Parts: sequence; structure tokens; C-alpha cells
Amino acid sequence: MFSLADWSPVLLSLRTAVVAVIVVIITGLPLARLMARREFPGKDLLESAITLPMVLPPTVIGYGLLMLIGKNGLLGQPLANLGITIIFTWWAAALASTVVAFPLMYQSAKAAFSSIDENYEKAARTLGASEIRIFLTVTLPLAWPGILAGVVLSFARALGEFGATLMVAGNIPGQTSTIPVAIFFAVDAGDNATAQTLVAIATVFSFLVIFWVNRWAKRQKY
Amino acid sequence: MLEALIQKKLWRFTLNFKLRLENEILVLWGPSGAGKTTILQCLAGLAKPSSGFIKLNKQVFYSSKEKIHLSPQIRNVGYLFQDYALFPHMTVRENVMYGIKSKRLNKPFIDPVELLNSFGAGHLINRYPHQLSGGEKQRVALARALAVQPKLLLLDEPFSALDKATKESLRQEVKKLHRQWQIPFILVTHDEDDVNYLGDRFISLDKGLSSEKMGKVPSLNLLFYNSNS
Repeated sequence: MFSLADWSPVLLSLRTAVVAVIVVIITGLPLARLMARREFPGKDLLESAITLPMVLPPTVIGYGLLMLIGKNGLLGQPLANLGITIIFTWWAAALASTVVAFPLMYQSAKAAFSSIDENYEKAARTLGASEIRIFLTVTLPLAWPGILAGVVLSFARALGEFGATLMVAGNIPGQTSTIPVAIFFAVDAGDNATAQTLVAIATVFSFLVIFWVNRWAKRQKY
Repeated sequence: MLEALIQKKLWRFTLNFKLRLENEILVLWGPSGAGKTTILQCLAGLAKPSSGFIKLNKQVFYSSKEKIHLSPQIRNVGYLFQDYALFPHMTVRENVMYGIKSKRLNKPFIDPVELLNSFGAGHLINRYPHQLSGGEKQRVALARALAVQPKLLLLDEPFSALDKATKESLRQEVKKLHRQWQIPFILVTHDEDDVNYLGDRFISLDKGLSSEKMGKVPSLNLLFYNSNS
């Protein structure tokens, strides 16, 4: 039956996705806020570059990451000299998930920030509120439903990342074998029981998350 | 006293605006697109003029010569937005308290709750903006703007979304408020009744035809009236 060791892909996937989402929130929210309200030359180019991972084949992203963090990569080599290896570790899986999840967080947050009537922020300014206070008490609460949608979408995307993860993290049981990777190799090895269990877990979990978010969003309308 | 000389390049024309105002009500009247809201936003610091100066009671808000442009946060100018811009996720009380908390006024001279009471809106204190009528929203927005004791109050089309009866009673309230507060009020409108009822003085803004005839980009003509004359 399903032993404790078999849970390792699930825990690994959750850990990877949680780290990816945290990184994506910290980097994506300020960038989205900036891009939602500012116009500058080259903005379209920058935006296209930011959202590129969403449309690129995962293997292309995987190859790009190999060039970056591989043994002879741009970052990989200097890091290796310091005794740090990222490639084929759990960190590489988290990195791959972060890159593919980022555009989803960015786009949802930017749409949410843009949809806020600017007059709320202007009114807060005339009332003497500092920019940081305005962001925390007006912008963020009003954009919250859209931001949460971004969190969920990027979490789901991070959880499901397969192609790039396989290329940079491989399939090391207990270290880089996340749910999608484990399913692929279970099927490949003819181990249908493991594959089916993981498929069931992934499906039920994803369904519950989406269900909860939809319910929550319904109650958040002003 | 408010003194301003504002030049602002807009999309289709350049706005030229000159103003000297004591503690009076000034009505800015003109069709949409004449730059009325732009003038208010320049005075409040929400927009930056291309050149000129703005001075309120000897404090320089803006000066292109001296390169001064104070942020709206420290200008202490009350602004009533056309759609009121009440924070939808806050109750009436939280809305009215927002400025006092932002400025960390420990001992506000005015109790915002009392201010709401004086507008006949005290019973609305725990409601959210979407539970208010247009007239109620406006009273709350006025209380919110006045709670931080502005030295100048700007009202952008304050009555445009209201029915006739509410409009008339609110006009009277604004006039009463002005007598109590003794600060300059600037009110933007395209309703001639507002001009007749409220204006100590009014300025009419329009895009001049004469400049169009000369084959140039239409510039803004400024007509200055004194309603007493």
C-alpha cells in the first residue's frame, strides 16, 4: 500500500510550490504595482520579457536555466567555486517553479492594481496618508481578490511544473522527485498503483483549492 | 488668501489660469474638457503645472522658478471628488477617521463623529459606502475632507449625481459650512444654478473661438466675472 516514503513527492511538491509562491509574491507584487501606474519608454518590451515564461515551452525554460545554473553556467560556475551547487537539487526545482509561476502572479496583481479607481489613492493623499500607508490600507485591500487569484494560480502552476523541473532537477527520490515527475516515472516503470494514488491526490487537492477560492471570491464583492 | 498662476499643457490646448481668492466661494464654470478638474488637481498637488506658482496664506505650494512642488500630503487641502471616492472597504467612521489617523493628530480639534452629526449623518457611522444614498455619500465625503481641518476646500462637481431636492439642500449646507469654516472654497460645476446660488465670484472656462480662427491650436480664454457687478 501507500507507505510513508510514497508521500515524499507530495511533501516535496508542497515545499517547492510554497517557496516559489513566497518568492513570486515578494518580487511580483511591487513590480506589478509599479507597472500598473507608470508609463516609461521600453515598458512594452519589459512586460513582454516578464510574461515570456508563460508562453515558452517548459523545455526552453529548462534549457535557459541550465545555461544559468548548470555546472558551466553563468551563475553555476561562480557558485561552484564557492562550493554551492544548485543544479539537480531541491533548490533547482524551486527555481524552475518560481520562473514559470511568476508571470501568473504578475499578471493577476497588475490587473487588480490597474482596476482600482485612482481617485481612492488620490483621496488618501489629500488626507495626508503616506504612500506606504496608502498601499497597505487602500491599494492592497482593494486589490486583494485579484492578488489572491494570482497566489492560487501561481501556486497551482508551481505545483504542476514538470518540463523545466525535470531538466534542471532531475528525478532524485526524496530530493527532486515532485508529484508530476514521480507520476511520469511511475508510469514509465509500469507502477500504476503509485501513479494513480499521486494523480488522485493532485486532483483532489487542486479541486479543493479552486473550490475554496471561488467561494471566497464570491463573498468579497463590495 | 490663495494666489495662483497656473500654466499647464493639456492634450489639445494649454491651460492658462490666474487666481486671487480671499475666504470666498469661487465657482469654476465651464463645459467638460475645459480643464476644470486639472486646475483643482494642480492646487491640491495631485497634478503638477507646467509652470507658474501656487501660494496659500504665504506658504508656497508650487513655484516653477524656485523649483518647489509640495506633495499633496503636506498641503492640507481638502478635496471632494466627483464620485466622492469613499473607501469602499471601510465604514463611514473609518473613512472619516482616515485622515486624522494618517496625520497622527492626537487631539483633533473636531470630533469627526460630531461633524457627521452636524450633517445629519451620525446614524450612518457603521455603514459601508455602498449602503449609502448619493446625498449621504456626499455628506460623509465632506466630513472626511473637513476632519483634517483643511486650509482650502476643493469641490469637484459636488452635486452632479444628485436629484433636485437633495441638490438644493446640499447647496445650502455648503454655504453654511463656508460661513462656519472661513476658508476659501473652490467649486467646479457645469450647472448654472450652482453659479447663481453659491458663487461669491465665478470664473468661466472655455476654449476660445478667436484663437481657432487664427489657425492655431485653440488656447484657453479666461473670462473673469464678479457676480456683484
